[in-house]
Amino acid sequence: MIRRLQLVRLTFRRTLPLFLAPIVSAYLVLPLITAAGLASGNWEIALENLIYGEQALLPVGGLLWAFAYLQVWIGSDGEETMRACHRGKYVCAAELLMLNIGFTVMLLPALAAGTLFFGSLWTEYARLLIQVFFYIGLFYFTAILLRSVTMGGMLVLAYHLFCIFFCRNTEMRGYCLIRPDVLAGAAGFPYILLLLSGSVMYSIGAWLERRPDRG
Amino acid sequence: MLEVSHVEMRFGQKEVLRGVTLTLHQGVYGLLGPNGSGKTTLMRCIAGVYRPAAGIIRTPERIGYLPQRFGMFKQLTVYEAMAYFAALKQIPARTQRKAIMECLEQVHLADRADDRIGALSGGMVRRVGIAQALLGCPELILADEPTAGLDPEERLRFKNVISNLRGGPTVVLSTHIVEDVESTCDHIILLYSGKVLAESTADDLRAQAAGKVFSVPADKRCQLQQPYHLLREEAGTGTLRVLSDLPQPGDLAAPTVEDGYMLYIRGRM
Ligand SMILES: Nc1ncnc2c1ncn2[C@@H]1O[C@H](COP(=O)(O)OP(=O)(O)O)[C@@H](O)[C@H]1O
Ligand SMILES: [Mg+2]
Repeated sequence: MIRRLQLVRLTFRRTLPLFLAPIVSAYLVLPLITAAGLASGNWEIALENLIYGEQALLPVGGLLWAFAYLQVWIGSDGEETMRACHRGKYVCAAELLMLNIGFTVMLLPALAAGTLFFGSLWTEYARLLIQVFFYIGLFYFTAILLRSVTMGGMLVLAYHLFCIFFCRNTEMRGYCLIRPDVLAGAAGFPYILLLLSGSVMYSIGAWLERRPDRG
Repeated sequence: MLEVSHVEMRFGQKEVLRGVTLTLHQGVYGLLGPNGSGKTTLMRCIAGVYRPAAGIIRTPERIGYLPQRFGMFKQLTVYEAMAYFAALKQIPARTQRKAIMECLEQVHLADRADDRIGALSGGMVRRVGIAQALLGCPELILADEPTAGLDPEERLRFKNVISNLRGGPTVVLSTHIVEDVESTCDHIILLYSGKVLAESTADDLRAQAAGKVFSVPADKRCQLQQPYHLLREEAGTGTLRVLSDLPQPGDLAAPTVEDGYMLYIRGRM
């Protein structure tokens, strides 16, 4: 059994800012912008701030975790040596799923705190986790395909920025994974589709990663 | 034990390995060939970095691999980089520290364990590469141009490390420098243009060249009989060292491994 936790731990120890980014977002930035809303005395605005901020920031945080791990593996100086340890049979997919789980756990206290103030946020929590799962899958797949974490990361980030800019645009919002009005009952978030396409991308990514004909 | 059978590899139209077949047992093997002969490609195929277009490769479970260009994530310390490989090589956490420090001691880097990889000199990074290849008691060690970038003292130390492995794993060293294989390797495999020209030993290569190496004074240059191959011109005396099947105007010289190597390679040029 590869000691996967050690691989993740060592990676994060030396890329601490990437590791801390989503934690700082969830436990410092989001409370602040929520508090700013509360200061105006309007709970609706506070909640809206929280949801919008969370949707804009946290998926990028999840992406950074995956980036930190994959940059050691894809196109790195050590790639050839590391892959030779398992004769080219090792793939990163399992560690990425571990990161997804870690992300889920990391946000639990934030969820509890949010629920305390605003009532149940479970649906938004689930939505976020699926979005992060999808983003990391998309990132993994594109990074392996393009043999570059930078390119893969930029692609997903570009899509995320697109979502931030166009999520309030009536024509474009259908293509966006950001739904600032999700709590107002705006339905139609493609949960199943994202879960399925996410899983497919992890699988194809893993399959591509195992084909050891890197030139 | 390592079995390589009819391995072929091409990049686009270019055939880089053309039916390589080898069976290696215990001992130190030198994979010798000029630049571009396919040594790195063969090593990568054996290490599982490339998948050959055809052929079968059977290796032991545990292999240690030092690539031609070894690098590692620069933010990690030497110890952390080694711990990364230890985790990949499934070395239990209990014994990890001891195993890592032993390997670092062999390459005289134990005192640099807490330095960042990015802060090391090229030769030191190379030694970390050697240390990680030794980690986990591999049954097969592949080292691609292991002495490139090492200074003379480090080279000597590396040769000692290899000598200490005698009787343990199968070791394959690739190099284009004859001197590297001469003293360290029990067996020499000549690779040329993607094919194995010969499986031989240092003594055998020397014996092949016996009676074919001449030391010719510079002023007799025009009396040389074709065909011959000029190995080198000694600096200072201007004496020519010549390889030829025909008698030449000069004394027979004691053959070296390099002469034997040139005899094989020259026949293909
Ligand atoms: N990734 C690659 N793509 C295209 N050609 C390659 C690649 N790797 C090696 N080659 C070619 O294969 C031949 C053998 O290269 P290599 O195995 O590196 O030789 P050596 O290690 O003996 O110097 C060279 O002619 C080189 O140009
Ligand atoms: Mg090479």
